Amino acid sequence: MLVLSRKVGESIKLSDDIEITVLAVDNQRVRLGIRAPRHIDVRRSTPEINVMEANREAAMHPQAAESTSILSKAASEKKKQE
Amino acid sequence: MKNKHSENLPIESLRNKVIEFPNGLPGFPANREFIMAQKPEERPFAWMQSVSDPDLVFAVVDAFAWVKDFMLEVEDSTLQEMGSIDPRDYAVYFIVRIQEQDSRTTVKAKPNSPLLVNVRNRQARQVVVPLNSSLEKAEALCLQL
Repeated sequence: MLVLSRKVGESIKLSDDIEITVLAVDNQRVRLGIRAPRHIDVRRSTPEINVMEANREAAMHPQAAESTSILSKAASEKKKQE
Repeated sequence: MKNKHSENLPIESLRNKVIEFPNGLPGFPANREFIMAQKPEERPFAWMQSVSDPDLVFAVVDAFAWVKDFMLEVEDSTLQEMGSIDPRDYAVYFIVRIQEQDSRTTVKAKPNSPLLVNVRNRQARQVVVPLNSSLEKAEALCLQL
């Protein structure tokens, strides 16, 4: 990982067309401004990591899935609830 | 995509069809294609099985069947990338977590990261959405089998 120090108001550039500016620093929170072309996908990465973990937890093996016909049971239980 | 649409979603048309996550499923980047398998008695649940790794399956549920009056906000730019900005072209699924606890089985959904599927071109994407009241309801729901 490349580590850079920047002050508030300073920025870094990624390639020619992406610029990330430090707008404010408040205790543990840093506000960043991001200027990038539309096709660049910008998002917070924490939820992404949570989603990966949640997906890994939810992943199943088809044998466990098929043998118990668990979704049929879930479907009839869902109907009962309504 | 701000509107809810409980009216006839063309979810049925995805049965036994392959959907494609162009960037893979988060946590499983090598798995881009999944087949949606569903026996009639399993509705509104379905199995999503990886084409490249058939040992990998997820249980999913039609979001609009899991919780009524469900609402979802998705950036238009995301929908544009997926090939349609018309909400009626999309099926929405929650990934379901099935857990065994003390000889009971619990079934819960993961509403903050729904799967969007454009049913016309079968492009799929998992999006992260902020929880609103209908999604909180969806998260609180639990089936005990």
